[in-house]
Amino acid sequence: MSCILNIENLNKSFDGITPVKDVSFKIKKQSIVLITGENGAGKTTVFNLITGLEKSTKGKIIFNGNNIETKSALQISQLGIIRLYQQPRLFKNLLVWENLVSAAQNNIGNSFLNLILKSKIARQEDETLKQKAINLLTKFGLQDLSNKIAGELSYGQQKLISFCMIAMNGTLLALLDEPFAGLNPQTIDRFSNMVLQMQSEGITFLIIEHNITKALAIADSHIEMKDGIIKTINSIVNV
Amino acid sequence: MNYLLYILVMLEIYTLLALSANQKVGMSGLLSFAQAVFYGMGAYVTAIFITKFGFSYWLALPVAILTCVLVALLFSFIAGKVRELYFSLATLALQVIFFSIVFNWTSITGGADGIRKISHPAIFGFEINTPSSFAVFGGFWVLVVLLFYGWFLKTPISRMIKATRDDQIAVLSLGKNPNYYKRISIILSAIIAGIAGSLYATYSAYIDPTSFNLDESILILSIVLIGGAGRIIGPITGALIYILLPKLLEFIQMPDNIAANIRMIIFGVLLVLIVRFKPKGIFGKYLIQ
Repeated sequence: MSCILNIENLNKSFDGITPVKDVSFKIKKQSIVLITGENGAGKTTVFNLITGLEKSTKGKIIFNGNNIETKSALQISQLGIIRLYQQPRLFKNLLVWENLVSAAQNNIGNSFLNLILKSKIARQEDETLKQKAINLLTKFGLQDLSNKIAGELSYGQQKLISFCMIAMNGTLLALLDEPFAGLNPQTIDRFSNMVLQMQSEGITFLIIEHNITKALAIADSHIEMKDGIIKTINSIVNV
Repeated sequence: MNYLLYILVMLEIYTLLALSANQKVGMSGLLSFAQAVFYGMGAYVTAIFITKFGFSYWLALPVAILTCVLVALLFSFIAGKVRELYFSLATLALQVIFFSIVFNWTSITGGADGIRKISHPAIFGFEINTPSSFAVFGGFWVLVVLLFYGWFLKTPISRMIKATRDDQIAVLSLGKNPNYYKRISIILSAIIAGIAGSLYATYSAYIDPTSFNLDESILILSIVLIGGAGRIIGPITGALIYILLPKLLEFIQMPDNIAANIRMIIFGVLLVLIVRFKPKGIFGKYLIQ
């Protein structure tokens, strides 16, 4: 299978500290890659560099054939890289289905000009996206939450909804920052199943997780980092 | 009767102002201390084009709106990228700059003396110059803005404006530009405030800088805070309370010279009580931060 992300000799230095040193790895399309390491190992900095929130001192990041090193965070997310933070970042005053529709990349009504010039098409497309959002919630057994205000959901529910936003967004590569943190075992299993289902639909995952046992159960390969460098890269065969 | 109609026109103007502030503060989460700038801009551009260039109201109004749009666009490019406190400080600077310009550019704005003899609007030869016709005219503009919101609040872009208010990092990580949504909101807010200013200038026939200073901006913000931000009913309720408060004082037969000061004291106390016990305002959906 072809490679979706290729990182070559990535370095990041600031104020005399080098949190990421000569990091190189490749991720195959539609795979699940787990990154582990102690606090300060450089995992989050690698995520920041991939998503463009920080710029590297040296090295290359090739995503889907594009060098994204020089691109802004907005341009990178528009290419299909989404990041889910440890704390779910929902639009807390919007309804759940509104959160999902807001995540869709291709809603022409998001432009004021389109709204004026193509009002009928924009209205129809928004309605289609709403239906898609409800179908998605139904698929993951979350349909009862559809008309609830996102900020009023439990922490676990908020994490599941923020995860559904990946599917609405048309993401190619999802970076998950400690997705299992704060979840009970049942919700972790539910979350893991959702990851596997989305993987089968074409999404690639790069996951930082401290709950290694649960994460290894779904991962295809495992990168271990220490002091800013890659210690080991292992392929995993899950039965 | 005329006094009641005057109250009604002022209620209409403050409803428009509160709705414009709500667009920025309640819908977008952008705490602005410059709402009186676009109110003043609408009023001054209308007044200048009517008195100096002989424009009719209907020609001066688009010029006023266009000026508000251009200034709001420029401001949104400069200040729209900064967040929270820094945005509020930028609006404060805009307010100070605007007041200095209208106060000191005497050849155009009349300085402290203001601009007099601003002619009234006319529709099909019928001049709107009586309190009752102005009340209907003001009501027309409120209705236009409310109808606009009836459509706009159901659109995807309105949803994205609220999403940006809730979490702009999340909007960015979804591949959307939060600055675009903030810009749209700032421009919409400026247009509504500009319409209110234009209405005020032609209604009062005289304007001066004291109607568009920082006190006025804070007052408009307070109206939204009391009524509640993030919903249409909130700013309307806030405007009702602010405008009808003098009527209440009249009812208890308070002398006029005391009533003016007491009104602001009561309004201030109400504001403190709201902030303490109902921080989202009477009908608010969003907590102003």
